Amino acid sequence: MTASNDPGPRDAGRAPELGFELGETAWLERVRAATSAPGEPATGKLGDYELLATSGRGGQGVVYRARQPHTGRIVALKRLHAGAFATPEMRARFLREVEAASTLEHPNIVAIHGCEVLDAGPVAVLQWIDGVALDQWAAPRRAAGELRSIVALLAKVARAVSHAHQRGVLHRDLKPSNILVDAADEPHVVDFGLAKFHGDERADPSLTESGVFVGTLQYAAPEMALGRRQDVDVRADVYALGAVLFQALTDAHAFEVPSNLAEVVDAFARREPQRPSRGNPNVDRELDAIVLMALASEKERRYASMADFAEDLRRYLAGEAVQAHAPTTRYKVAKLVRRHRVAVAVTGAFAAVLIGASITSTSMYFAAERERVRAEGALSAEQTRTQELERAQRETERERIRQGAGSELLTQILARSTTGRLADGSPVTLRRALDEVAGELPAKAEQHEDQGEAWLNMLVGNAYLDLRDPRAALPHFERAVELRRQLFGPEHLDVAESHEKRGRARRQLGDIEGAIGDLSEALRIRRKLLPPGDGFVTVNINSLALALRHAGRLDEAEALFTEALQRYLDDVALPRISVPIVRRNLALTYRELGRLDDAIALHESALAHELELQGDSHPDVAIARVELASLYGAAGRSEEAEALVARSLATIHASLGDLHPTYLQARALRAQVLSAKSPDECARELRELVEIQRERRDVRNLLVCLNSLAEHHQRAGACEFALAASQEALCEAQANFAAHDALLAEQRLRCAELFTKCGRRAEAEPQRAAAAVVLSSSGTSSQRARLAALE
Amino acid sequence: MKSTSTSLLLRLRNPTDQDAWREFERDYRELLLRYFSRRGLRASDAEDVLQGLLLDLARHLPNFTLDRERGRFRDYLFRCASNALARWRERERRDEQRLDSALASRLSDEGLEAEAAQAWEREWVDHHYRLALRSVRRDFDARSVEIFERCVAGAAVEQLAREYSVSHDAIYKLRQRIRARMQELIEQQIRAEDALDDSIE
Repeated sequence: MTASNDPGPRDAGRAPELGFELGETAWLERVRAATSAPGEPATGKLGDYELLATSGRGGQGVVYRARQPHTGRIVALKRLHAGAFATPEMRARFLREVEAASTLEHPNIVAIHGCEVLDAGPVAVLQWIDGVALDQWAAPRRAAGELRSIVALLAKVARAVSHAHQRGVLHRDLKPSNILVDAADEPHVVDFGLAKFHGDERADPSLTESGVFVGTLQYAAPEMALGRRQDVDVRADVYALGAVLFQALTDAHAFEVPSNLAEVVDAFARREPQRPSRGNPNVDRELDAIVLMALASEKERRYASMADFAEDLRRYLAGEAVQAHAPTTRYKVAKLVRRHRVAVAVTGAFAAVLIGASITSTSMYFAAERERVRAEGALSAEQTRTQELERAQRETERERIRQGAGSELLTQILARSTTGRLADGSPVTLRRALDEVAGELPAKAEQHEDQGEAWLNMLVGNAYLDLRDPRAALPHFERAVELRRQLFGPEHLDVAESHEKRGRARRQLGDIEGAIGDLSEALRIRRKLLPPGDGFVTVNINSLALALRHAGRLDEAEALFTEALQRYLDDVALPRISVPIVRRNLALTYRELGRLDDAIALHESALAHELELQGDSHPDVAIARVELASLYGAAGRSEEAEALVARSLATIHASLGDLHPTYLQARALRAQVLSAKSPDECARELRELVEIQRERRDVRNLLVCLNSLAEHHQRAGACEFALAASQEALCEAQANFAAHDALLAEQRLRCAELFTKCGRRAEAEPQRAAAAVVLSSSGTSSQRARLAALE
Repeated sequence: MKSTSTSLLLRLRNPTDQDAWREFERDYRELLLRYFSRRGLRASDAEDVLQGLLLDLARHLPNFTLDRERGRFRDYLFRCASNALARWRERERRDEQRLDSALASRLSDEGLEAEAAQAWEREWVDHHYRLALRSVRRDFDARSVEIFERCVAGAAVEQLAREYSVSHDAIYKLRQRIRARMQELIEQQIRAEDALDDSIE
């Protein structure tokens, strides 16, 4: 029998769609649809578990009451989305989430015992709770006017969720059916960490089937509903709990979801809830204020943390003044921007850009950080980020925003903002809006010496950093560090964040030692306050290692890169692409330490890995090839080097342009490779690069080119030319670096080596001595060895 | 051809055959629960409706003569399910305190009947996919089933090929083999189900 046979319906008009004609992918999708939703037999067995009953809880899909084998313990089994296990990475990530959630021990959080694969699908094993969903529990109390008992219950829930947040676990799908209330009126929050893996994909089919959103729209914060995943942090849970409270108080949704998907996007971008008291006159003004603050559509206006929300609920119950009343600095700023008649749409875009770039201390979710690590890792290959400025400034601001923020929504809003005008009638640009707000800041300073002002400075600083203007960003970070240290003392995660950002700005401005100071301090604080495996610590280690390598402090850099690499390997939640990037950074550090063989071996494995992750045509891969070629070149494997560089040059030129530092480095490398085969072309190319770098004021790469030129002449036996190039490099170094700078000392060392090679020991000695003053204490082991060889 | 499923449906007409009922419940329970959930019921309510429906079937099926004019077993089951659902909704509507009565009344609108038939059809086909997959799980070797299920879960062919150290082609062939087998099984199952219609006359 074949698939084309007619199954034989007698009334052809109702022949069922069996799906046999579907294409391969669609057919597999069909099988998945038929098998993925829950609904195993309610009695019998699932794996070794004895099923006792099926219990549906709201839209949660089927939950089984079951007896665990061996222990006999009664548990709840919950089928999860089979797609959670589609790849080993997703599987590992899922297990990690479950593991994180299973460490939560709180009387108001339903414990996760673990996760098993039963009948080829993932199943979560949960503590069994006899209880009713919050909405059912709240209804009679609301009818009886017992609002305080509802608030008291929600306050408990808020404290429980805050407990989870402090351990880095977000809920992401808080709703009435996820809060069970037992016979003793104790709430139990279900499903921590499972939101992404729910089996009930059909809860909101219009959105979930397109993969936009997992969860329940009525309780979803705008950033969550709009799929701006990088913006989702603890405040999304604050919003959801606010929506739950709203509904418990009024029996209405805080926000009715439009049926049309296009309207949903629009509505989410603009929605502001009504006062709960309009739905239930028993709600007083304080409670109104609390709910509205939790439900603010811009997350900056919400409670900064679940703990703050819980605290306000407690104050309300105790009759104390609530925080929600006083408009915060953040809110005032929002009004300030509006007062300047920046088009509302632009204000939204503006906020989104600013916020997209910021990570607050309360956010334990570092999706946003991932992109940054990636970007930073990739840029590290160039070693000089500062020089990108000129090129970047030539681009239009909008292009940059689009690249930086990457949010489709943002692009839409920006597209709409083209008609917007500033107060003086000039067109709105992000830069202009930013300058206006920044300009207002000093005047407001004495009025707002609070968290808000520090936050605002971070916001503005981050935005400038995003626009690649570290010079404008730096004073804001300076102020943020100062304010936050006053407010919180020296050891606080917010202080660490400010140090880190100031470190970034300083590094981009070439103040490497300053950057190292800041990044070290941030790392010290984070290591002390965060759990050992925390992702922030890992990211911080990596940025500090980069700065140390720039400063030539290679042994320290090596130790930190090695640690960062291990942490990236251990933590599957961190982006995989970081693994080869950190490997490359470590390999380049090995090279500078003189361990060329180690460097090549490590870099080759990194490149292979990166190819697998990014594909052949990705610019990062081309950059990696150039790096590897430089290692081959240093090892004398010039044929392999030449082949690799040739392959990468065109890709880099196409994706980065002809003045990009990486492209120039690749050219320099190609020139070095040509040294033996066509010496004239090599010299000509290097000389041209020297002039380009001089004009670009890229001192580091200028030195690289001059030193390459010197080496080339020396190999060709033209000692005079070689010494001239080397001394030119020394002059540049003296003009640009402080007397005790490690890079100047390195240049002196090179000069001394060249003089020695050319048989002019007398002239070598003063340079060697001057280099020794700096390097004998702070230099790397290889530099000390080179010094010793000269003596 | 007489398949297990034919004999099962025939055995159902014997009220003392407890095993037949257990098997029927095992096979059709998910279909019915999923259909009810598609019609907007919460899982716990779907369980309630299902219990009523099973009781009905147990009462009527043994001496029921299906009217050929009115369709096949699946149509019969659909009508039973619709009736059970309607009865439950009627009860819900009387119960003013229900929070989701608005939803219940919205869903019972006459205009939604076509939608109901469509939902049933879809669930019924899904049901046969599941039965076929169950046979596949039993008949194919564990590794093939595992690979196939990972395909279904969305894993890429390249990745599976790498992980299981087989060629891409092998994965495609395996998929085709299981697909062909499933489609064959589904046809058999449907014929067996239809055979009950004949026997009921």
